[in-house]
Amino acid sequence: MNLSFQILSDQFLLNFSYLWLIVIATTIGIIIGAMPGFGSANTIIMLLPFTLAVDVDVAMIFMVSLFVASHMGGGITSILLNIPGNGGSAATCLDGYPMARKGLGQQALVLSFVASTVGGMVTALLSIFLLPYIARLAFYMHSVEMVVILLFGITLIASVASDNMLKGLIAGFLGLLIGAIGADHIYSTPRGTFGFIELYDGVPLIAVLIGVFAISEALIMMENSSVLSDAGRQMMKQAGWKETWEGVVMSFQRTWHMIWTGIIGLIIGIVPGAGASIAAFVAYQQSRLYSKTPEKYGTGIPEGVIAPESANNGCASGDLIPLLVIGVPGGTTAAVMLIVMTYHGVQLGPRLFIQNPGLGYGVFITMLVAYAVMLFTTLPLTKYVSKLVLIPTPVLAPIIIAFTLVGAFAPRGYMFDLWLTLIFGAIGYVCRKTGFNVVALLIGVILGPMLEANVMRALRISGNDPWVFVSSPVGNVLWVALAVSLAIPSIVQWRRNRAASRAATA
Amino acid sequence: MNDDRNGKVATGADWIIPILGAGFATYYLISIKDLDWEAKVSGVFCAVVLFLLIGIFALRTVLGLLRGTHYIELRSLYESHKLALIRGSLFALTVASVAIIPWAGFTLSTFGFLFACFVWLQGMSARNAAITAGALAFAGYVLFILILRTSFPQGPFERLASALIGL
Amino acid sequence: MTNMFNRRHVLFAGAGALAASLAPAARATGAFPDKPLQVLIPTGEGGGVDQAARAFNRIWAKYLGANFEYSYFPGASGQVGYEVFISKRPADAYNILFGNIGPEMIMYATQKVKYKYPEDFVYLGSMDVDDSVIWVGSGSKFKTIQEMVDEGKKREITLSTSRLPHPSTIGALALAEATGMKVRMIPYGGGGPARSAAITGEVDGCATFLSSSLGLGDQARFLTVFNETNRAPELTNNAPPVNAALGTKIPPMSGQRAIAIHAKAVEAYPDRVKKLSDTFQQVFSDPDYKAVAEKAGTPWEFIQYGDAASCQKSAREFVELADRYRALLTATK
Repeated sequence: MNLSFQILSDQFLLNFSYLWLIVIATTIGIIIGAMPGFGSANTIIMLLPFTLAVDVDVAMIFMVSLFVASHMGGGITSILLNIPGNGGSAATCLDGYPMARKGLGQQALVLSFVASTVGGMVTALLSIFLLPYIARLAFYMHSVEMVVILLFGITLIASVASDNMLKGLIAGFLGLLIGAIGADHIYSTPRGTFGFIELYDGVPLIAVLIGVFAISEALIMMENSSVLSDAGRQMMKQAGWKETWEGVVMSFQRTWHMIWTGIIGLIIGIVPGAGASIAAFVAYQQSRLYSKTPEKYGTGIPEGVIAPESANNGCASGDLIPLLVIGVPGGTTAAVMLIVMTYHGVQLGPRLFIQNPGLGYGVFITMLVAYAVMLFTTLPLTKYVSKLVLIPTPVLAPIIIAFTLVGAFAPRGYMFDLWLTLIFGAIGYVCRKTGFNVVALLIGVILGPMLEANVMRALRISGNDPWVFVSSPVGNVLWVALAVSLAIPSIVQWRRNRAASRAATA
Repeated sequence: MNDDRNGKVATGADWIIPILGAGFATYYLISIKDLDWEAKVSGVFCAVVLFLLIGIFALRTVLGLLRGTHYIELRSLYESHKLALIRGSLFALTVASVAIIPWAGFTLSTFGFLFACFVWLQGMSARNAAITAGALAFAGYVLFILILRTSFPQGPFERLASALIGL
Repeated sequence: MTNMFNRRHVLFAGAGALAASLAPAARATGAFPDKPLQVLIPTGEGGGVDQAARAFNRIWAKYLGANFEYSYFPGASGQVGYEVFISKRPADAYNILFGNIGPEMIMYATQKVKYKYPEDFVYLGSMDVDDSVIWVGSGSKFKTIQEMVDEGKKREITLSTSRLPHPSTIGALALAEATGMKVRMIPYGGGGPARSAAITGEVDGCATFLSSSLGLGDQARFLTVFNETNRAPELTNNAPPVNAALGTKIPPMSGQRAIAIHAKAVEAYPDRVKKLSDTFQQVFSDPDYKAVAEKAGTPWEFIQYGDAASCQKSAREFVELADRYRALLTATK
């Protein structure tokens, strides 16, 4: 792949000449990213008449900017309202919302924007300079390896539910079983669908997301007149620009954290079909694991916002790599981009970098520029957007319900999905009020289907030989890492106890 | 539900999820009983583990009740009658607004829902509530119907608007 | 659900009359079509059918005098899309379905569906013929289909496919039956992941439709084509037709992208349906169509008009084929 300074500088110039377009595309992207149920794929499809009419470079600048911006926007509602804009930002709720309740919403938003930007930019830079090597990763990440990676995410069920393990596990396994509704991965036979055709393709994630998070949160928040704690309310009222700056400082005190969690996102994103939601959960799990204070996760700490947001955006780079290098789209948005590219007569795959390297590398240059632009458009907004939580709950809760229900309906256009959302809203409410962790439930619903698909595929490829799971060197390394990550918390605890007992006897 | 009072654990409302879970798992197993093992195995695994966990939960609760470390109450589900009333009405209004969408369309049902909530829950004056709910519903109409073109069933408002502006 | 929808349509009709009276006079002339056609696609957005349909409709819109609006209902190998089309879309000839006869009739035959062919829907015409192929990644040791068959007699060959109910799956199974090789089909739930698995070497090869794999360039080495001739030899490293290479008698395993319409619409609105069929056919002689079809990734050699009768014949053939291999394609024994 013939990368040259000339290509990069040409692409930077091209992108700067379309700065206005990037501003528009990123603004649209952030808004739709923040709205549950709307995503970059549907939006780009709606705007196909535009992208097909303009030059392919311009179309790509527009689509890539919108795509990355939608990853950035997802965290806003997770942090302020405990409502994830999409599966990729579900993990952001874990610490983002507690921060907002403490009156640190503005800082949390800044953390999420800066982490998204750093995660996105670092992975875009890595992609530019190491593209051939990163693309090779796809050759080592097969079903077996994915099984282990998914298990990393699934072990998070136990971590998030540590305050009541038994109930957390019940919620997690109920989530896994709900995730197993719908056509099986080999024969496409419907299972557990109650006869509803609407469930043949599985329970729609967005209905679960909006139900257990938005609807149940709206019901819960009615117990107070504000989502903020009293102290948080005081802080929030006085908040000014200082808080935005504090957020920036907080972020860059954790620069390395933003970088490595972004790289986790990049690696997971490369695998076709694996998306931002896995990346975010795995990054959160890893972040918690190597933290000196894992017990603080979930109470509103900066790392808990940084890890999922950075990974979620790193995943955006990863998603585009198989599309560009192999010519196979890794996700729905990439598939729509493929339509536009083929329409313009651009051949994706290895030939792209021989025939039109500018376009190939240009994608990552656009990412760099788009993230830089977004930092300037989003950071000043944090001061105003974060005030959203000051709205009294009897007004806020109905608005949340009315507008998130639109998101539950929009992706598929079934009235059924609205009813399903209400059912999950009721389930979510009961879960929260009776100590069953809803994040554990959600992790099961999101990761369960992918885990099943990969397990069944690995078994089928091997002729139903269970040893297949320990047959690949990369997979085995990952297994060891998984075992270590499960053991570390107990070892740390044991050492602490020993140190404490020594201190006591001394 | 883990709010220990005098060292005792409240139980009762936290049976709802395990009972629902066990019911669903049973239904799921029945729905897959005739399928090939490849379509079955993961569901069976999850269901069995779920039954096991629920079994442990039931055992713990029963033992707790026998030993007197647990006591039964349902209050934690709704906390107080006032809150229960507020939540109940919010949820009921939500259900009602979804139910009328096929006839009233998105804009009118959203307006009605928000208006009722603002008047009822926040105690806004009818005029203020109508203005706020109207502005929000109209903004929703512009954003979701006109711009994002979600395929909500059309109601009188949408049809009138499209007849007037020809969109 | 159904009940609600019915009532809704009654009301819809009532209020629609009111709206029509308010609307500009041009709308009331009754010429078909006086509003956009609703296209339902039973596979994902950005998939092969989506691309082909959009390319086709760009030209069709000219002759039909109406635009198209798209909705996607993927799931259960296309079953969701067909169920939604038949149970929830009005049979008014404004609602059409763009599908692929081969895979979707196999799905019809192997899954428990709530609709009936041809009582509930018919195919009006087809727009291309896409052949099933087997290809391997560029790093694979197999240079010819014969080599793969030989190895397949010693061990089981794994082939990725987007889903089991698919003509290429039946092709591979028929090949295995005819030659004595052992083959195991691995469904990936989508064309992209299936292709990726073969390129990255997770499986021995990929069984799929030709056109979707053409963009892969040197990464794919085509071994054989499931038809009597290879219609795009220069794009497929001159892979031999399966029967010529191995002396087998496997029928062609093709996909035909086609439009379907409610059978009730054919009865109730014969004039509308005739207009659809006539204008549909006109597209093929339009010189612009060649350009847009190729832009959408379908080689011109594959573009071929098929009328309703030929679609029906093809649909029935696939139902028979699927019945023969039912045991290997379904989870219900």
